[in-house]
Amino acid sequence: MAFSGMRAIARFLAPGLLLVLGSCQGSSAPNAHDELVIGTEGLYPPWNFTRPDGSLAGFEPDYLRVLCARIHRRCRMVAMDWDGMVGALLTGKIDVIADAVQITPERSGVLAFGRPYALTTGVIATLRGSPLAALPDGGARLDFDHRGPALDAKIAHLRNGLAGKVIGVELSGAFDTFLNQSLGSAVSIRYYRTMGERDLDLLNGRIDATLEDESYLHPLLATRDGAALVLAGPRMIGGTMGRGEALAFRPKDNALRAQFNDAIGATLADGTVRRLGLQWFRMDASPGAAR
Amino acid sequence: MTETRPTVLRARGITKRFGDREVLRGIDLDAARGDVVSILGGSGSGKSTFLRCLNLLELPDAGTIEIAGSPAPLAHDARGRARIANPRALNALRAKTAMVFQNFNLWSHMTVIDNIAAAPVHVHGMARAEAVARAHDLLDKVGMTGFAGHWPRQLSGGQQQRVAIARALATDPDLMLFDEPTSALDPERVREVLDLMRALAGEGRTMLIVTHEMAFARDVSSHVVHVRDGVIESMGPPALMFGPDASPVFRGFLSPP
Amino acid sequence: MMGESGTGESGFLADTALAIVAAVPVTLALFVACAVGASLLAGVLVAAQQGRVGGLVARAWIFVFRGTPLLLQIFMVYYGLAALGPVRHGPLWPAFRDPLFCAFLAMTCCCSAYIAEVLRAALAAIPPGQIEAARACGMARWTLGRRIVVPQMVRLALPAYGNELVMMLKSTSLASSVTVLDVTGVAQQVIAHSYRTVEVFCLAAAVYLGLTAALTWLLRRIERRLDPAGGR
Ligand SMILES: Nc1ncnc2c1ncn2[C@@H]1O[C@H](COP(=O)(O)OP(=O)(O)OP(=O)(O)O)[C@@H](O)[C@H]1O
Ligand SMILES: [Mg+2]
Repeated sequence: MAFSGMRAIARFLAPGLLLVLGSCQGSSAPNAHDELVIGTEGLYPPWNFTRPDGSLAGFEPDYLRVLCARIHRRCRMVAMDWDGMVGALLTGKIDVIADAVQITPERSGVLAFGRPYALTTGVIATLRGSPLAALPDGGARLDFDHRGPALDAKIAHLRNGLAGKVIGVELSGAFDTFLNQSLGSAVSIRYYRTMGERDLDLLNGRIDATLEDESYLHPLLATRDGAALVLAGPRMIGGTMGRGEALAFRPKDNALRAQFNDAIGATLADGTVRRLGLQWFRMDASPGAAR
Repeated sequence: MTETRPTVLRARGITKRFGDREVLRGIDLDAARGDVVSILGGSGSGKSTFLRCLNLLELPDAGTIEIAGSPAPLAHDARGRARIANPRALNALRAKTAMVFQNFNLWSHMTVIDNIAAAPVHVHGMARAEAVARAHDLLDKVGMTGFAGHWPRQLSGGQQQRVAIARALATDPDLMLFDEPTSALDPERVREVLDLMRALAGEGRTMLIVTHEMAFARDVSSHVVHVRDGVIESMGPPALMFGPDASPVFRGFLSPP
Repeated sequence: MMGESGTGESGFLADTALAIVAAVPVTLALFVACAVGASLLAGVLVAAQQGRVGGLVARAWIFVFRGTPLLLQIFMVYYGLAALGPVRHGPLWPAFRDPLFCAFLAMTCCCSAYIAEVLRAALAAIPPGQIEAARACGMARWTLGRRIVVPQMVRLALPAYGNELVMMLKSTSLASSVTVLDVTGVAQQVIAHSYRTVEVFCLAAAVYLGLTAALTWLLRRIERRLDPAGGR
């Protein structure tokens, strides 16, 4: 199960360091004119990530280019820690968040979400040799918005299967909230500020598993280091994990949100979202896709 | 020097160089029990260095020292440099002596009483209670009754020096070395220290005193030694040294033209 | 996690304060362990500096750990060492697997370098005459160290040493960067769910202020006790 440590460290930690260095050279602060500043993390491939040259790439940079063209606005994407992103939005440093933000009840109290442009599930990833690889209900879809005995039984399976394990999760307010509320008493949870740190610890064996979005895990599993990982247990959606990913706006920016919603509707209808999803996630992540 | 009394100090051929500079160039000095030897001389003549050689705070490059019958454990390495042959013997030798410094050098983290009791307890292995009781007696003796709990920095220079003398007496040393004990004191404080030293001389303590106090040297010493350029230029009883038959060089030192 | 019990503004602040205060034992445990470990290690470093070979090793140690950021050292211990086979598959892995231990190890090494410098300066500041007075009465080396040098060194080092301890207490917050849920870690967690950076960090800052105030008070008491004549 050995993975080449230093290369992995470079792979998982370097983008974050690059970002830290880059962001010192002053970016933020929207100019009062017509330019829209869009915040993203740049550390969440394939949704958004930072290339070695510092430029942003991924599903969202591509998609936002399309959307901005449709609403005839000049847009500039800036990378920042998820930590400060909501604060930056509310204080006007940025105008929109495009960071695979899941529409959760908790966040809906603070942010105004646009129409979802993707709908993905959360899933457990663990090391290939781990006993957790044999979690029950593999691949089954668990919708926490449809409660009932069947769901309760599967939650019990999950809780028993993970009991006593260390689960690492990004400190973001979606999967961590779910873990805390649904499994908190059974497992011990480690919170990470970036995906890369969490992935390193998963590969190191410091944590037993992670709960993460399938759209992030599929490409990771296809990499050389990620090949040591497998997906396990059910695919989960709803409840505190939310339903789908959307842009986040300031609650008062209704006009801007409406403009984007129209554009999103059009790109969902004309297959743009489907095409970008296949390109970046190797699957159609659009909300309409029957999955 | 008087044959009936036992010899306390026998120093022979003490030589010391700092770098190229030969500071002591062969000094011989004996002292018998009860001798009070005043060492006089100009600045830089090597008085302090000689005193510090006697308890091996400085290592003499050549010469032998014997204190109360114990030879100093000096040896020389292949390149002729002096070294301590035996640390245990060194400490035993030093334990027979006591030194009083120009700047008192009381231990600032100890109270007066602890300063006095430290060497009896930590060097001679005396029980603490006994050492403290004796320390109180010594405080009385040096006129510092009631200062047991004070810290050194709470005392005047003269008081500190009297405590330092009590500290030196605490181990009942065979030989007491004084290096300008009154030079750092205000003029009005010099008296109290000199009076105390006069009393010690009267008790028969063996003392080597580097001093610039000529009246004290003349009135209290049994011997006066004049050091010049690292050698003993002349020596003798004070009556001789301060009389008309003293060496012209010493007379010149006493009253420069 | 937040939200249900909180009723409005004051409820949120009360819940947050409780959550942060509940993390104080983690911060304190890390601090005390590091303070003890770093001080002992610093003592060894200063002792080593008296010899020639030991001096080289000690100087290299101080150079490295004083010359690089603590955050980087924590990352090196936590991620860097974990990448080495002998560590990951060796008998010590259970310790290195634990983020709290990694933070402790990195901080202890780093702070030992600073404290060693404080102690070295204190050693150099001991009046040589007082050491000479001890040698002149025949005090053996070890007794002299124990009765004269160390007590004086402690007194002389205390103000600067206390300063290091306060810095160290605040530096424990860096442990949160490797998933330790100390005061800062919990604050970040609350922020991730409430998006209220300013209030939460203010509460965390208030907790650190309280801790450093208590530490400062304790240090001043010790200082006064060791040197009652000092404040005369
Ligand atoms: N540790 C040392 N290193 C180098 N030179 C020294 C050292 N100690 C003393 N000397 C030199 O040796 C010479 C004799 O010094 P010493 O202190 O013995 O003189 P002294 O007769 O006591 O003078 P004073 O009356 O000024 O105290 C001086 O020139 C002094 O500079
Ligand atoms: Mg002198």
